Amino acid sequence: MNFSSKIIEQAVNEFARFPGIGKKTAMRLVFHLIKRPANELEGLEESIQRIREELVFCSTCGNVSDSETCAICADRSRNHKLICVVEDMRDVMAIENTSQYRGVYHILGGLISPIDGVGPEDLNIDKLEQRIKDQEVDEVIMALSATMEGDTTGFYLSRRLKALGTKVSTLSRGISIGGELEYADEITLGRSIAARVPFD
Amino acid sequence: MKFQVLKLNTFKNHSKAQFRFEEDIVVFHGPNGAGKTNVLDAIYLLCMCRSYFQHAELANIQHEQDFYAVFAKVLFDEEQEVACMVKRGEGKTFRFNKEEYQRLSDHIGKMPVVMIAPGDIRLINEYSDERRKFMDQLLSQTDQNYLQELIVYGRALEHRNKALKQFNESGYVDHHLLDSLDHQLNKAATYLYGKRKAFVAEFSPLFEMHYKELSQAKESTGLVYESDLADQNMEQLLKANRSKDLDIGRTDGGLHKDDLKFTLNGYALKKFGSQGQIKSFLIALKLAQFDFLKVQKGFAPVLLLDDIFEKLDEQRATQLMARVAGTGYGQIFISDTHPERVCRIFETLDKPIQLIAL
Repeated sequence: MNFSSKIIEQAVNEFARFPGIGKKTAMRLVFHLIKRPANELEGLEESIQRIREELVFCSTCGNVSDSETCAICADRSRNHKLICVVEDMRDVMAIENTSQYRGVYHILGGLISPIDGVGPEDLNIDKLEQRIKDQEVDEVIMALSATMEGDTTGFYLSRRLKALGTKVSTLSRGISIGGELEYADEITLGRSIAARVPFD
Repeated sequence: MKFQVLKLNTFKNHSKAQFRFEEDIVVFHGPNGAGKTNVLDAIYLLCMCRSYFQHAELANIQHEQDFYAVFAKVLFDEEQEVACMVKRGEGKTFRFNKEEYQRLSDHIGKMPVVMIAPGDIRLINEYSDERRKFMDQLLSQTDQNYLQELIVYGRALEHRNKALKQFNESGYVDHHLLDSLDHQLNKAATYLYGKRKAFVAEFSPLFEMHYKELSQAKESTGLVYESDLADQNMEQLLKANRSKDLDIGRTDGGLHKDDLKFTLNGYALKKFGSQGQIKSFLIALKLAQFDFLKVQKGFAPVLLLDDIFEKLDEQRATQLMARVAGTGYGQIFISDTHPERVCRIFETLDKPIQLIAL
């Protein structure tokens, strides 16, 4: 790609480093920025700066936060004896959007994956154990991806956490709501039959 | 299932080619290097999402081109379109009925296929991985879950080997982590072992029937499934092997060491079989593969016979053709340098064939 301006070239290259953004999209974004009024750019600059300078990780659950304790951990109306363990902050947002959960969270920051050089010691596990001991937690819910790595991490954690005397549960898996059976993928359908539940 | 139209675009040596199939038996003929095998391989590719001969995807693209595309119209209850395209730098897209697959593994089994090619002798001469591949390819086509569990097993094994290597180097061992990986491996292995065992039991009689018919001899044949899991489950095995595995830095025993032993009168076929016996054995394996798929799927797989005279004498070839031209077989694609031979055989069998010169 030939640019008439070094400044544009640099900006395009920076945008192209974002996940899911290629050179062409990066260029569209940069040209969009050029056309925007100056005050809009200031707003963007400010928010990037605040991400860099002000954002911290919650000292309790590990989620991103504006202050030392995140809004969820600071909420006294939530059940602090119920902890939902997730891989990252996007999972917290997904579960919050269901409005079905009033406990608190714990963010692992990844899944066990020796191939990628991620072992248990690289995850936020020690702090989870500490929380369970300190807060007399009743139940820990494993809300991890239904992949081999998610299962391994869940199994590993349940081994360690059960030693602390906590109840450990995991998300159920099966047919999606509103889904027609004939379109369900065969593996999910097969396992749903194997793990069927009594009708009530 | 019938292939009706096949189109190739910059696939191997075919710049642009289109074929329309009118008979159930189609013979591609032409001199060496005309691309007969490549046409059969394109059909295989549309069934199994990968080439039978060339596992490096990009090597299937014609020299100095950026992509290849293979397309077919296939008649099931209704006509469907199947297409595979590989572009340099972008990878593979696979479409069925104009819809792109998210996972290629979802396609495996929709279009069952059996290929018989000169290189199949590997199945007998080479290491056990060839024989595991034979079982895996068959079972993957008849059982979606099998393929998924196989993928899980492979990945979990890779994780475990990596962890063992790290522990071996650092001297620190996280036994909880190994327990977790062993548990994953055990779940997958239990399923896979059960399926392989049941498969061999079901497959053996099919195989023996074909062998007897082909060889017209009285020797007894055997397919023997050998596995570390025959008398203990994977978790017990891994636990017993753990300290040894830690020493060597990889997983020594398990389902990934399974073998399917071929015997003749109780002795190893590879060592004691004559050339003729080995040929008959191979063909019988493939025909049994065909039967197995047909029973499981409820319809006949596509049969691809590549350069069959290369390795078979005319008598055996005739026998084979007579067998596959009979009832119960579906669409058959044959490649041969000399069409007269094939024509002669099918004439005596009174079967119409379509000749396509390349």
